[in-house]
Amino acid sequence: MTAIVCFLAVVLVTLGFTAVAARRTRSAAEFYVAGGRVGGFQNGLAIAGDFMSAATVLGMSAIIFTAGFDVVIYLAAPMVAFLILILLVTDKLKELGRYTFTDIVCARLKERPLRILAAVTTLAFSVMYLMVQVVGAGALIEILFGIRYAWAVIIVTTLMVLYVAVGGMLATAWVQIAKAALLVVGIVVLALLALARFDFDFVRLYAEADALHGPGGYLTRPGGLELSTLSALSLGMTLCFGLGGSPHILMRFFTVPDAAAARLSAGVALGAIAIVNLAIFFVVGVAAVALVTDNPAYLDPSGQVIGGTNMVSVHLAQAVGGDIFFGVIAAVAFATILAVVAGLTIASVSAVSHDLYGQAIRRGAVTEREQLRVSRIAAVGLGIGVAVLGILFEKQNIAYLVSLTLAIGASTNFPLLMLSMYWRGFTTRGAVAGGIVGLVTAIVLMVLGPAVWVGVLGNERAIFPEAYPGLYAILAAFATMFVVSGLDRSAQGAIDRELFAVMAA
Amino acid sequence: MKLRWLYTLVALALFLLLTIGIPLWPEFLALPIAGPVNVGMAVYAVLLIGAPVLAFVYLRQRRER
Repeated sequence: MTAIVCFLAVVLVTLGFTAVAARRTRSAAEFYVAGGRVGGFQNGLAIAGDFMSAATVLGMSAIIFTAGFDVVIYLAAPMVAFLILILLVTDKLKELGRYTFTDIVCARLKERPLRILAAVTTLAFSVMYLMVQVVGAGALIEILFGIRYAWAVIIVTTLMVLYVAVGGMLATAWVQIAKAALLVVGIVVLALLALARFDFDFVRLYAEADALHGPGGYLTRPGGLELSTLSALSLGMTLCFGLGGSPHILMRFFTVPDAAAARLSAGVALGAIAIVNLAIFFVVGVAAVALVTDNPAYLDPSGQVIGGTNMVSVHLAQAVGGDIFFGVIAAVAFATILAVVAGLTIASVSAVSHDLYGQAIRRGAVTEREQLRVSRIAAVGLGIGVAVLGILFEKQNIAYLVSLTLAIGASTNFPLLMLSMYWRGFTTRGAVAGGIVGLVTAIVLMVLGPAVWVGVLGNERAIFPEAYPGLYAILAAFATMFVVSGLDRSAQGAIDRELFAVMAA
Repeated sequence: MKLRWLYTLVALALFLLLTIGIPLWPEFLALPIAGPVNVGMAVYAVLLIGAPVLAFVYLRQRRER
């Protein structure tokens, strides 16, 4: 009961943010980028909030619980990705852009085809990423309230649509800031409480966890995920470049007033993520192995963890902090998911209303009122689609699903962004051809791979046996962009190259 | 300009060491250093602490310029 009260309190507070933000959101700029008036430090927390999704809070502990040390690939990738964003992307983003990363690409390439392509890739990415969050939230509500998973998914998607359709970016920014602060404090307290159970003796904690983790000693040794060299490289590159091409993260850099604030944002985000990842890897995941593995309170009659391994960190909270702390951590995890889905939904609806409807279909001849109406309709449509996918993917590990989703960002948005900013020879034809090849390759390999072909569609063997298809899609996209741009002798190609020189100046 | 590419390469190299080290050099990454901490865990910790430090060094240099 205490847990449910804590949980509902967090939901009500975040809904309150939405109501206040809704009264302040009048123009399209306020809806999409909070009028560009969020401070650098707060925006950094919001970016950290956007990144630290269900995969971070629930999925990482689950991977440590099952596979141990190999989770470092998942945990180290965001550090490198954010560093790349700070060093190579943030200045240019803010100098050239307005609402979305599409504006950067369109600054030197032909606008209409690029806008359509970028909107499609943003939508594909967001729908997949939203589905992942909904899978985590569904399982969380299922164990907290004891209601059926499908209903839990419907409740989450309804709240998601409410946040976005009513409050816009300002509401999601506030929710992200509050949630990021709660998450950092919550995970650090969870780590301290867990350590206290072992009298702050690291050696004892690791010895007890190691004994329960199963044969191979993979808790601290590489090998638990059984990755080949190619798979490991593919997973690492996908996570690293995929994050750099995540539309909901890139979009946050437009909510601050200048480039300095954009850089400060990324620095603060990096610091917050480092604290959480440090606590999860060295303490929370290991303590979950030591305190949940053999504990009958958290196992169902068949010996499986109640709610699946994605829930081990929530069970750990109850084991070390009782019902109140369990409620707080469940609420923080839920707020995390709600905030991330709200940010993603904003990115998707802006792709539909601003890029597809406003620019590609109506060619700019659209009123702000019309655009906001399309945004709200898009949010409802998206909610329905995501709920269906969330129910289909119920049993998958959410951190693994995130790696599949990031393959889309890594093979479309990331190469488009980097080459348009740093390669003079990049042309519209190359961008469109490479973007399509990257998107199609990522989606086709994902569908033919083990997660969908076997896990969802129930076939015996995957047509494409590789569990991490990202590297193939990234290489296909970059190669196509280089070859097609290199061979492009059109008049538009010449203009694209000229504009790069103007942009660089 | 050159410095930011250098920082990027250093971070990417450490990340690659960790990533392909898992299948290629598991014994090296599992070498114990102190208590339960091994080489792999130490590289991870360096990356985790080093990335924000590099970021803030770069931010300070930008501000000074």
